[in-house]
Amino acid sequence: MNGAGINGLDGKEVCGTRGRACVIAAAVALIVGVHIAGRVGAYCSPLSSDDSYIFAGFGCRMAHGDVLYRDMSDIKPPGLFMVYGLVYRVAPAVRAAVVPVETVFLLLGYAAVYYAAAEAFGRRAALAVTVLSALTINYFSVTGVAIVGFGVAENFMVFPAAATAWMYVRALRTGREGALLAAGVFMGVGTCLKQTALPLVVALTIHWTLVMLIRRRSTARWIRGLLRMFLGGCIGWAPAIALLAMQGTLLTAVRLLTSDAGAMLARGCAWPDEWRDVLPLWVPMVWAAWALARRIECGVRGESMMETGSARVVTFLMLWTAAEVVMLWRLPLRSPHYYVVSCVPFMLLAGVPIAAFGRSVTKMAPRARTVAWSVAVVLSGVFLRPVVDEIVPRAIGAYRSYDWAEEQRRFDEALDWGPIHFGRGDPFIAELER
Amino acid sequence: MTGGRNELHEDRPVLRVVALLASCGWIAAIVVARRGTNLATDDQSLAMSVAAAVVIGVSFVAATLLLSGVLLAGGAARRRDGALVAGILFSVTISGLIADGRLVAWDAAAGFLALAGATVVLWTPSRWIGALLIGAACGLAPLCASALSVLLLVGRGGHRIAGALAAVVVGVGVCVVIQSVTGRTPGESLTVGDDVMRIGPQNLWRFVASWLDLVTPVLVLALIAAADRFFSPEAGDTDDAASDVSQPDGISPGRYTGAGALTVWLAVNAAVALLLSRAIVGHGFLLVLPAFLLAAAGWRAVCCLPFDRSDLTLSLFSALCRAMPFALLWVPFRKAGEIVLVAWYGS
Repeated sequence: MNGAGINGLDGKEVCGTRGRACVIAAAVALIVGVHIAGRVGAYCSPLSSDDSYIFAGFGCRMAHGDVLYRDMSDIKPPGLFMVYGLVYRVAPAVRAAVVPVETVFLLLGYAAVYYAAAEAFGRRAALAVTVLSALTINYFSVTGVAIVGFGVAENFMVFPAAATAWMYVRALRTGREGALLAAGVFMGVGTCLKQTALPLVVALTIHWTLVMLIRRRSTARWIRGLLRMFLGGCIGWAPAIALLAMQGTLLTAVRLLTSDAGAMLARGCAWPDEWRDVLPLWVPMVWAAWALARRIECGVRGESMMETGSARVVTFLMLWTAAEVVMLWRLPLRSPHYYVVSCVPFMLLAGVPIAAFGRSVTKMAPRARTVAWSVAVVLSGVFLRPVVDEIVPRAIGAYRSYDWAEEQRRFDEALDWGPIHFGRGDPFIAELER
Repeated sequence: MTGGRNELHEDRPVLRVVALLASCGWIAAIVVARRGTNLATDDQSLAMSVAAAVVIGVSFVAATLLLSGVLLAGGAARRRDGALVAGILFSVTISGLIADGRLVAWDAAAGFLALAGATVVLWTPSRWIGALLIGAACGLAPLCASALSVLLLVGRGGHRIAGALAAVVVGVGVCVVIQSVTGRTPGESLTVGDDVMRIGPQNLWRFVASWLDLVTPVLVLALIAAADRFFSPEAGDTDDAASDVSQPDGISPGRYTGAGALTVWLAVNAAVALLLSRAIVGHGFLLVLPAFLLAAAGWRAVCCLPFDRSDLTLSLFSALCRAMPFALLWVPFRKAGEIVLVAWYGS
């Protein structure tokens, strides 16, 4: 037998750096693969809703001189229309022009999820959380029936939401209040994209208040922090406010985005019907149950399950999750594309059991530790496989039924709508004023 | 430090015999039931002749005994535990595949020969016999050609090439003989039914996914063994997991190519499966052969997870990890059970 064995597979040098590189490469490949399948499935779907045509059409019309909230309006904030307007300043008038910008935002979103989780729970947990997030986001994007998640605001909101959490966690852990300003900017960008970013604002404000007023009893820092976040929010909103003020549609926008949009609330419920609707969340839920048991055991033994300082982060994420749950209960339509951004805090929370697991296996012998991680990854993969089995066939089916001519016809139709207002008067009804 | 404690490594010969008898009996029952349901189906492409039933039954019972270590007796108690689990997993998984209906006698015979050949190459010094068996398997079913990777990767340089060449020559010879006797060409061994050919890509993905559910238990253990082999800092240093299949008698310690070779074989098969996705439905059994050989090592790796009264949640995790492969067996077991019930009540 040859002592050298199989080239590259034998010897201890495969461990350590090379092993880590392989794991990272596999994770990145999985994220990219799932992202491509998810985007193809959502973009090509014949179910692709009017929403993507409305957003892209409004953006294209803005780029060619029409005035938002006068010539065409919606009860949604101007952020996404402005992004699309910028795209169509340079891109041709086709719906596909928004594909690159959406992909950039989603990739930034995955990166922000990674950095937020790494800041809170360490890099290993962050990698797992990012893979889970990519699977979950793309699953919720393609499984819609009424609305398939292409080009919708939720896909763009993942980045500012996760970046807000990242900056806020950094501020909590390091005490740098400058990070609160950045968190405020990202919150501003998020709310400028859609009002459904408000649960994060509420959760963050409540948490900051709890931490500063109750735990640290520092009114001055509490006010300073709130002011920084508010200032950041203003910076995030500044381009939109400037545009609306120049157009003279600021007051109209305020009415549409507040009272008219508020009328949509509680008209239905976005809460999932069946457990199967939230298939990607099953594995994190099982891990969460294990972490709960671990927490109880550690509590009994008087040990800490997590690193010092993680409890505050977990409290914040739980508050955020609770706020998202309340909002889902009051959204007007049962559609999975809402879950794309609502799942972000839950995904970040999934870092808790992973980090706790990593901490608990450090006591094991090196071999057992490797096996424990391998088993955890393989078994999680087995139970996450149905998610991929749902995304990929839908992507293949959508791609095969895709009709470019029909898409272009619908997009041209959206450009020719003339004066159109969604959400004025009775929500859900487009009032045509040709 | 904890880890490596395992109280399950006692030798329990009665339990082993009972488990093996049950496994072999289960395979025989499924083959009989599957043959019995021929009368109840209109799809003659899924019918099984008496000769095919005998070949399938004998091949898989023999493969179960081979994997469970009966045909290559010996080794420590902890090795025998892993082998017994591999045998049980094989019998239940294969029963599900038989019940699925597309497993043909040629593949069954080729699968047994490939398993036996790889086992002989990895476990014994008689690599030439292993080469002949692998060659014969390739002659019966060209999908077994990926088993040549075991010959190409294990052993001294000259012997590796010569062994692979010998297997190719034997394979071509067997192929010619079969073609002249039965008229069956090598291409025919890759064919799949018209119903599978008509399936569109997105439905094929779902079809393959449901097929994968049948072999998930064994793939789980194989992947754990491969990960252990690849990432563990101690892999090969001890008489454990990966080295369980890579430390045959007569081969000096410190040369750990067994699990690595099987992993390469599995990886080659995965690539073949991607290229010939329809073949999975008809001949996928041949593509998961190395996983059956890695299962024992995977079980051994799982067994090195600790049970410790002072750490109940980690012990819970260890227990769940040990239970999971058996829980996942529910899918092939249910599939096979349905056939048995149909045959029972149909008669």
